Amino acid sequence: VVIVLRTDGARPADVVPVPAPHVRVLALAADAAGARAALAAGAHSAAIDGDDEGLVAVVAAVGAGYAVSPESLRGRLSQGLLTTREKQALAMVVMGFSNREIGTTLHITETTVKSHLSSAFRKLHVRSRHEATALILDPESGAGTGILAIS
Amino acid sequence: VSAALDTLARMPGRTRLPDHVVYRSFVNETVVLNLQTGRYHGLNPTGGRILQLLVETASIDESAARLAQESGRGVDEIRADVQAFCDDLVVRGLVEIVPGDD
Repeated sequence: VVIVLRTDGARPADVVPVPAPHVRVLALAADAAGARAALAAGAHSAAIDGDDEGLVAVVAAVGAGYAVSPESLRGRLSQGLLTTREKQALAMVVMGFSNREIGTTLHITETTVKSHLSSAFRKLHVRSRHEATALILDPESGAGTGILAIS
Repeated sequence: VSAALDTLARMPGRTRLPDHVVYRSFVNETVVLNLQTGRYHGLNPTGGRILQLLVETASIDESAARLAQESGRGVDEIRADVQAFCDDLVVRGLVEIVPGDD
């Protein structure tokens, strides 16, 4: 079952229902920021409202078990797959630390730092430190530093 | 919490940055990262300077003295502010107090 939900101006946390088995929530948001907030609130997928033609395909994909999000939020759905080490290395990249500094702080070799970052970049679908930083910090479409939170 | 902070204020020791914390100063902000939680904390220039002094001098008293010299304010007044700020950093796990001469 796919619930298609228009978040409108409401806080996504107030309208996204508690997940139930066999129910997947697709949030339709006005813009990328709304989609990002809906995903953060627990929606399984998000799309930009108004694209009715594309919506059919999106609903079908979500119903088939795929995770979908606007291209502008590329990488957002991969956040949960980042390991603790990948998050730590990425968090230091965002602050401008070099691989050597990251390795010294985390007590790992530079080669291992590169390995963690390569893996994180692959999961987030970015190709460089610059792209990774933009993906997280961009005020318009950035995923936010919350994706680096360690529980 | 206030009782714990009172105890903290009286506790002799040296201030230091925990191993799981890194910080970097930018033009208008100092960003502190707790690697255990993955959370960033932003400090204004004054807060950033206090953190820097706490790390450099490892002492609340010396940090307050240096800050008083830099700002032209009374050291007693500044010491209370530095102590309160340091307490807050300690509660957030961004600074720790290790045993040693005060």
